[in-house]
Amino acid sequence: MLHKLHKTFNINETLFIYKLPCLNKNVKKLEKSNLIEELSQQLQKMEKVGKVDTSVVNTLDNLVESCHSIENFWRDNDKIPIQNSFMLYHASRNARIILKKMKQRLIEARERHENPIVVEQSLAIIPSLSELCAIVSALTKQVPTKALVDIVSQKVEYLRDVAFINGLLPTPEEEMKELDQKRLKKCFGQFADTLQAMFV
Amino acid sequence: MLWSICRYSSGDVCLKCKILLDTCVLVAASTFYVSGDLRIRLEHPFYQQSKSLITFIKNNLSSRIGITTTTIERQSTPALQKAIDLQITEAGINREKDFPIYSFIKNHCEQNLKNISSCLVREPIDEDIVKSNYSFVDKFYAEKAEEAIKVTAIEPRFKKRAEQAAKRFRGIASWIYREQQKKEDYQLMNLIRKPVEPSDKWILAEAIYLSMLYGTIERETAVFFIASTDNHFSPKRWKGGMFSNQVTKAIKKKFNIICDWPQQVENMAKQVLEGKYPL
Repeated sequence: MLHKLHKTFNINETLFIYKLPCLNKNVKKLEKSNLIEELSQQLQKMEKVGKVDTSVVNTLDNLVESCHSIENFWRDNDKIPIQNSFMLYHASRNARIILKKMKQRLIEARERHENPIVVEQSLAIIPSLSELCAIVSALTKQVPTKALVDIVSQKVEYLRDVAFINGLLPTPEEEMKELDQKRLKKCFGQFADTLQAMFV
Repeated sequence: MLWSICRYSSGDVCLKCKILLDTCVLVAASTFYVSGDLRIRLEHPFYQQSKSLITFIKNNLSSRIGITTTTIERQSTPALQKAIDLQITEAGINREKDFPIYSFIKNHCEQNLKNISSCLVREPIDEDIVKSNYSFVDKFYAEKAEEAIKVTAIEPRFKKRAEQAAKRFRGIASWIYREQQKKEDYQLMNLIRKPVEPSDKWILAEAIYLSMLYGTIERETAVFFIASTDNHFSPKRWKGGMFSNQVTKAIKKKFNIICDWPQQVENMAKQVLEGKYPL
């Protein structure tokens, strides 16, 4: 699958390899390496041994940090329509929360007796995760068209489906932890009212 | 087709029903978030009745009551996205605070929508037949829109009614009857105010196709419902018992399809399954 991705998106060139002034130092450090490939190799090693090696946590932390900086890049990008920047932000955010869930499950694998099933499950989401990250980071170099953003939207949906099947999708409660509850109530109410008005 | 015939424990065959869930019902049933730990309960204004209908459908899963079409499914997720887009394009949006929230809402509601869709039957549709049905539906709504103009602008009823009142009360009677007529004709006037979208006409055309399909493949007559909160299909009910249902009545008469709100559809469907509903 990764070979396929190389052909389609030239993953080594695009994944986290871009130069934008607003990105922080952590991302710049990552420019020379392909973190997802590194993660994939570490997981494959673990699969062979049949045991989780917690040294993978370091790679996951770096990936989470990188996704976070991409999230911020899209969130703060006011040069493109807000709907497009939201969708690209949403894609990066989903990649990050799924990686965080992966990290949590890998750490807890021993005490939960999920060793080595969690490694197999983590490996199962690598192709779709890699594909999504490749597109989202590649788009930072150009102005994303509506068609490209729609593709990203489909990729997010697919990644979430695969993550759900493999138990790597955070629960709503886990997702909620980083949100402002008061604001959520307000926004949810407005969102529901807008939906109601759309179907009268 | 035995699978859709509902049987009581006594073995008696009862009437069957099919409920096509409109996009608005799927969306309303998907828009909720409840957390016992955080003591949060957030929901769409029509969540309760939409969810209740879906629970009824789930409880009768073997009867394959709840149906959907690819058109409706294709509309549902973009509808959620459209509502988010409308919110984030509003002035005064705080990207730092609101983006994570709308991302969460999108994730959560789309997941709910997937769970709901899994209990609905997707029937194959013959697009050519639906296309020909569409022209009937298009004509039907055009006629109803003409009727709306006629009853409100050309021959308004409130004037005749007011004339029957004593001369000194005619002014106030005219106002009262005009307001009453506005409420009575709401569904017709809605066709002028907010013309029916082609996608909604297509859904009705698909419903006609499915209703006729069930009519030919089932041994027993199936009562066909569309559960919708959209006044282009379902009646408008006012406080105090007044309602407007000219379009709903005409759909029933012309296409033999009963359109109503999720709560009413659930009640009628229960009666059908109990053999009480008069055909």
